[in-house]
Amino acid sequence: MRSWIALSATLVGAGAGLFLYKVLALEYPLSTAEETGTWRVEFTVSVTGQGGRAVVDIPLPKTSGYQRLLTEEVRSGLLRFSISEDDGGRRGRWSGKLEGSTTLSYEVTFDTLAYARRVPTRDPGGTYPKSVADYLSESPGVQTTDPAVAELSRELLLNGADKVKLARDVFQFVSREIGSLDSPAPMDAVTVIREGRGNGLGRARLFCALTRANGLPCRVVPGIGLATGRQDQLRYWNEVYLGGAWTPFDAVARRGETLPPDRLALAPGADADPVRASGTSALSYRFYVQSELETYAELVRRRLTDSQRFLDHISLLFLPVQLQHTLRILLLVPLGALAMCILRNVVGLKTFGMFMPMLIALALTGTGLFWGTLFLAIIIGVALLTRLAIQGLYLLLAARIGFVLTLVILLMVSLFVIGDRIGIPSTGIGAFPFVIMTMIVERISVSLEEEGVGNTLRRVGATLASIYLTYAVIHVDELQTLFLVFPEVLLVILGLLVAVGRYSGYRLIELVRFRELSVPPPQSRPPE
Amino acid sequence: MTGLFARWHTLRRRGILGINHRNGAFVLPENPRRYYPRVDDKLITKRLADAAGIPAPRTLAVLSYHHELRKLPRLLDGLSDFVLKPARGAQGNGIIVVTGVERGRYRKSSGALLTLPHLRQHVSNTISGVFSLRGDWDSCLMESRVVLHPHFERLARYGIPDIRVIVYRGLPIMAMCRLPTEASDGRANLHQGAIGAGIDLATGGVTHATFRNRSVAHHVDTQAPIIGFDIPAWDEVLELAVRAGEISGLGYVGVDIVIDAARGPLLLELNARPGLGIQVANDRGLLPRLRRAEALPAAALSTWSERCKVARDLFAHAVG
Repeated sequence: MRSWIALSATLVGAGAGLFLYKVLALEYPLSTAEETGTWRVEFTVSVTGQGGRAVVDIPLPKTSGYQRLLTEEVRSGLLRFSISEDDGGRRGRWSGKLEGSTTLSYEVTFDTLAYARRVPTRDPGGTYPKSVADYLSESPGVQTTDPAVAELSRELLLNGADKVKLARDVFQFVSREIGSLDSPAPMDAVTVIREGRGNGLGRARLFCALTRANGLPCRVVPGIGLATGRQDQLRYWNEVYLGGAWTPFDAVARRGETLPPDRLALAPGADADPVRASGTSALSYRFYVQSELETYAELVRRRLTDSQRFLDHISLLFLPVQLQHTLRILLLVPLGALAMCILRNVVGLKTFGMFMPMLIALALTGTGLFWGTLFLAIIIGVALLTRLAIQGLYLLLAARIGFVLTLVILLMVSLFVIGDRIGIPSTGIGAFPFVIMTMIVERISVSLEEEGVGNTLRRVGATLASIYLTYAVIHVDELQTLFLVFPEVLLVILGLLVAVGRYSGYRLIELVRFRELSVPPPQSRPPE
Repeated sequence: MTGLFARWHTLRRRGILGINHRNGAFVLPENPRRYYPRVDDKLITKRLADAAGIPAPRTLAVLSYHHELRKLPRLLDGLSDFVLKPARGAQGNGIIVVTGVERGRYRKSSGALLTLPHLRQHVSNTISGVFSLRGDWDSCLMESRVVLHPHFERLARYGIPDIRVIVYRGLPIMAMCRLPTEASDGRANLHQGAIGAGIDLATGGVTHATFRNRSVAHHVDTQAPIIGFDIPAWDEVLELAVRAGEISGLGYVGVDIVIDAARGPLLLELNARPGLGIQVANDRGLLPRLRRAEALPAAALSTWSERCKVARDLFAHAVG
C-alpha cells in the first residue's frame, strides 16, 4: 500500500549511499577550495633586442610541496627555449638573435597545495650538504658580513645554538618590526636595516642575511600571488634549512612554517633579480593569473586515473570531452523535470506543455537568455499573429499546423539572414525546436479562444518563468560538475519524482481557488 | 504565509479535495484507462446508454467522413432546430445549437445567422478534428435540440443548464446545477463563467451558489434568486446518474444531465476527471462523503433505488 514510500526511499538511499561511498570511502574530493585549487598563470616577458644575441632567463615553477604542475606551454617567437634544472629549481632560458621587441610567454596550469613542514623542536645545526651550505655565504643584496647585520644580530640577541629558535626569532623581528614599503626597485638587506622598512624582496633579503650570519642556510623564494587578474610584481619569502628540509617563512604575509595555497613558487635563490637578461635594451614582465574552476572535474579525473579501484574507472570523466559537454547539460535535464513537477503539482503553475519549457530552455543555451528570448518572441509572435489572421479560412488541422510550421521555419531563416547582416548572434536559433514552437503557437491560439486573453497571458507568463528557472538551473556550473562526477544523483531524483508524484496535498494555487471554502463553516445553518 | 497555512488547515479540516489528491487517490486507481473511450467518445457513450435504456438526446445523424458532407442538405431538410457537436470534443467546444430557420439561414442560439456553407464548413472542421483536443479524426453528431424545461425559465436565458453529479463506486456523492451566463457565452462550464449551484442530494434543492468561485445568491444576469430553487424531476435525475455511472465502468465519474421539457432528464455526457469546483458550489468538501461511501458494505448497494436512497440519507446537506 505504501510501496511508493519504499521505492522512493530506496532510490534516494541508493543514490545518496553511492554518493557518500564515493566521497567517504573512495575519497572523491568535494571541492577544489580547501587544499587544492587549480590555476593558470601566464608569465609574459616583453623584451627589446639590440640586434645581437640576447638571453632572457626566468625562474620556473616545479612540482613540489607548493604545487603540482599540470600543463606547461611556451611561446618563444624566434628565440630558442630551454629548461635547466638543478638542486635549487628549474629555470627557463630564451636565447637567440634578437632585433626589435618581442613578447615571450610561459604558461602553466597547476594545483596549489598547502605547504607544511614538521619542524623539529630543536635543531643544533652542524654541517650541511654542499648544495645547502651554498646558502650560508654572502650574495648580491644579502650582505651577511656587513657590520650593520652583525650589530643588528647582537641587538636582537640572535643565537645560532638552536636553529629553530633562531629562525623564529628572525621571523618575529622581520615580520613585526620592519615596516612595509611599496617599491618595485630591488632593495638589499642593509638598506632595509637603515630605513627600518622594506619591500618584499628587501625584507626577504634581510631575513636571509640575519639567519645566514648566524649559521642557518636560508634562501629567497620568488613566487606569484594567486589573485585573479594582471600583476607585475613577484612575491618573495624565505626558506630555511631546518631538520634536514627547507622550511618556509613568509615575513610579508606573517606566516611561518606552514603556508596557505595562495601562491605559485618559482625557482629559489633569487638573491639577484629573479628575471635576468643580457643583450637586451628593455625588459619588462607581468603575470596573468586565472582560477580554473571547471578543472575540478579534471582534478577528479586525475585522481581516478591513478586509482587501482574498479569503481573509479567507470566514471563519466573518462568519456571524450565533447561528449562530456553534452552530458553536462543532459544530466541536469532530470533536475529541470523535477522542478517542473514541483511547479505543476505543488505550486499549481499552468504552462504550455509539460516539458515544453525545458526543451526551450535547452535550446536557449546556444543563443543566451536575452537574444534567445527576443528571437523566441519574434518567431512566436509573428507566427501567432499570422495564425490568428488565417483563422477565418478554416484550414484543416494538418494543413494549418503545416502552414504555421512553414512560417516558423521561414522566420528562423529570416532571422539567420538578418542576424548575419547586422551582426547579432542568431546562429543559435538553429537549435530551436521548430515543432515545439509550432505547437506553442497552436496552443496559444486555442487558449486565446477557449480561456480568454487574461488566462492565456497568465499561462504565457508561467511558461516563461519555468523556461528561465530551468535555464538557470541547467547552467549552474557547480551542479553540472556535481552530476558529471556523481551521476548516481539521478537515482535521488528518481526517488524524489516518485515522492512528488504521490504528493496529495493542496496545490498552492488551490488555496486561492478554494478561498471561499477556507472560512470555517458557520456553526448553525439556516433551515434548508 | 501564516494566512496561507491557516487556509490550508481549514481546507483540510473541511475535507476539501485537492486536484493532486483527486488524481492520485481516485481518478488513477478507480478509473481504468481502458474505459476512457466510453466517456471521451460521445458515440460510444450514447451507444452504451442506448443499450442500457438510458435516455439521451436523440441522434439525428452521424457524419464521420468528408464525402458524407454531400448528404448534409438532405439531412437538414425540414429540420429547424438541432445541435451539431463533435463526438470527442472537450469543454463544449465546437457545439452549434440551431434554434430556427429563417429564409434558408440557420439561427444560432446566440442569435447569429449561419448559411448552409457555414454549417458545412463547421461539420468538415469537426470531422478533421479541429475541436478534438488531440487533433484526431473525429465524427460530427447531429442531435435533436434539448428544449429548456419551463422550470428553469428565469435562471437560464443564455443556454441550457445541466446537472453534474459525481458518482463514486455507484453512489451519487455530490451534485450541482450549472447555469450558463452571458459571461460564459451560453456554455455550462464553471471555468468559462457559468454559475455553479450546489444541490442538496436529499431534496434536490439549491442551497448555495457560486460565480467565478465567489458566493452568489441571485443569478448574475437575471437577478432571479437561485437559493431555494428546486431541480425538477430530482428523483429521476438521481437514478439516471446512478445508471450512467454504471455504464461508464469508472469508479469516480462525473455524470452530466440535462432536463428536457418533454422527455425529462437525459444523459448528456460523462467525465472521467470531474472538476473540483463542485465543492465551492456546494460549500462542502468531497472527502468526508467519499470516505463515508467507502465505509459502506457492498451489499447495501445492490439496486439503483437503494443507492439513491442511501445517497440521500448519507449526503444530505444537513449531514455535511
